[in-house]
Amino acid sequence: MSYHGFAGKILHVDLTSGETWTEPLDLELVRKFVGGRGINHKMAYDLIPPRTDPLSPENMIILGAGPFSGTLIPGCSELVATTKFPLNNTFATASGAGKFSLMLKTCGFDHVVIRGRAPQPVYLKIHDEGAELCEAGDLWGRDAFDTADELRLRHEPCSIIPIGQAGENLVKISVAQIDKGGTLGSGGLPAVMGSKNLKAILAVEGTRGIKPADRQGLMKIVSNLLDRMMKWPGRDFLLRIGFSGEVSASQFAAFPYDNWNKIDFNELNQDERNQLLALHAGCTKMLACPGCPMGDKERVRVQHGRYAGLTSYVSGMLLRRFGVDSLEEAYGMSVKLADLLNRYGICEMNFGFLLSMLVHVYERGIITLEDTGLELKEDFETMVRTAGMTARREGLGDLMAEGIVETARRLGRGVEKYAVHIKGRSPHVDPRVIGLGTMPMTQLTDPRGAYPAGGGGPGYVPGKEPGQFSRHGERMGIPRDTLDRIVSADSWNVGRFTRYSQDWYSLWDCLGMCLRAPVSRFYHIDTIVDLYQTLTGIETSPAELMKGAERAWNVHRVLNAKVGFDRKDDRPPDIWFTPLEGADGRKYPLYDYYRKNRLNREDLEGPMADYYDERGWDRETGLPTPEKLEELDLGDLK
Amino acid sequence: MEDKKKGPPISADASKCAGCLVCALRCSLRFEKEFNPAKAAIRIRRLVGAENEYEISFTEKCDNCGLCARHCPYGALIQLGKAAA
Repeated sequence: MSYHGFAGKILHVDLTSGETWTEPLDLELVRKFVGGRGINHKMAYDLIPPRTDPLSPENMIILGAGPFSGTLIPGCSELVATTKFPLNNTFATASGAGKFSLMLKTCGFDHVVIRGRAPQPVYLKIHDEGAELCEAGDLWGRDAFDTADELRLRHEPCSIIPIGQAGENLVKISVAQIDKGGTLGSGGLPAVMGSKNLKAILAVEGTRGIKPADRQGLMKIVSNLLDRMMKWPGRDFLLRIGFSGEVSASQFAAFPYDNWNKIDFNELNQDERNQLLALHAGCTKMLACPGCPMGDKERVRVQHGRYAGLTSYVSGMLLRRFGVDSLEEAYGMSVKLADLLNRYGICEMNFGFLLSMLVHVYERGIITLEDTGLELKEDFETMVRTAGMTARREGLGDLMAEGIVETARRLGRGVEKYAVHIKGRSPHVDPRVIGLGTMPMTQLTDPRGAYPAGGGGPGYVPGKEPGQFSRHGERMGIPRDTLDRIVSADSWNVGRFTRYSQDWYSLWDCLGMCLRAPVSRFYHIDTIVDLYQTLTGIETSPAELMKGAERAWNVHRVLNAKVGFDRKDDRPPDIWFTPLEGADGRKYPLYDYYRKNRLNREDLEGPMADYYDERGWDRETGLPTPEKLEELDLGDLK
Repeated sequence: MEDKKKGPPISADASKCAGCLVCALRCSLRFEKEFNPAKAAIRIRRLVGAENEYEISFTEKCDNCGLCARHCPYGALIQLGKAAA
């Protein structure tokens, strides 16, 4: 059989027996689930028992490289990884960018299914003929970056997903990195690897090529996209300051502290922010993923202060002040913290907010030195110290390694009510800052738990006019009559709009596309359909592709329903209904997106019901109805 | 050999290379009708022991067609003396 766009094979690896085998990629599966995330979800449904302990040999790691990944379609190098995550027991799919999906496809594989547990530490080396397990005893104990360096010495050209000490020690707030630059699997993917004695997954550069069905037709669209991206006025700025700079340049570049009670938007005044960005630009060389003209991942080399000379990769790092006078020092500290967390393989969000909770209850005397073993403050030194303790599971770190819900439960004394989470994950965005837009809504309803990526688009920032949502909806392929129903001249329906935003995100993960705004702004559903047809030779339409993405989302929900998750778990944290307090004393209560009406818990019932209704899910249970599954040709999932 | 070349030489400035492989993906598509950097006439090798630094070289089959330079997003490849079309 001849495949276009797809490599055409699925690799299976049993770590327990050491056996590997392959099977052809079923094009019927492709027709129904598009690729990447969609096929991963179906395989997870078929292969992993729902009640599996995430850290048992029965859990699996399923990697997927969508059809666009590894090609010249700009910004398409996403790899997806599906597993049952130990942080919150949800089945979920993580995505991360880098060279892995390209390398995997040059070895001839679109997906890899890894099961079992190796008797001794190993790393998985994927190559042209299949795969082999290589002894990794000498790598065990080394951090993720050192491991990547060592494996590059042995196998370059290749791409590597290593784990650091956090993964080895089954830390549930761990995250992996692809090629030191692309995060993959917050919520404990490294712990799943660690439980399998799997130190790294590596794909070498193989000899298989990815063949487009219509080379000239594809290149016509690709050249046009590349030209438009190169001419984008924001590109020069992006390539100077990178993703971390982009995040930190925003006026909303502040995280709540004191366990989501306070925020300081003026931690950096505009002058200081600009100085810090200039410092960052001066220390940075951009790293690009394959096929991407918007390379905004940063390799930095600190030039001043006590961390001068430190070289690291810090994509998405938040530049912080850390309460020190010298901006040069603050910059070095920001890099040092990101470097440490990345080397251990700890997720900054889930770690930072967990520590914030512990400091909050410590300062109120609810827990004491007897519980913690060290003075707790929300400062640089405490973060560095507790990160190491968490990675090694020492003292308090052994508790923190379990994540926010379990930490609070074990501490008792009412600490649970201070744990701010949705399905066991710390939120990334706070609707008291940006209003109840698509990002907070998707954090509530994503089966993975608090995760904002499915709510991208205009709702990323507050107050965008409805016309922008209408245009974004068109780009996402929302039919005209639906758009007219959910977007009006002066508002838009957040619950209903979020459904389509999630399906759009799902489609990108099915195809292997990067949803970061500098890339995604150039894509329209019609462009994606044209690319899909010229690359794969498979005829499709906007409605058909979006239906495949919707299937992927529904299978995800059904998978987690089998674990026991339903509407009760789509629960807003209590703290959202208490005003956030600015450092200047200003209060930030929860409002709707346009800040017209203040919202309480009951007020969120309407948007939630709208969301389930638009999905065709039962409003009471929050789960897909049998009719919906039939409509999606997923009747066999009942 | 020179008479087989389609255009003027390609100048490579590796310090500007971000490792995106756009050049190699485009080149392999031209020569082999498929995407795989290993099949390109341009080689981008990540330097082992360095961080985000690359070595750029060309194999004998490179005929200076200039597609790599035309598509390089980071200014690392320039076709010398090539007037803008």
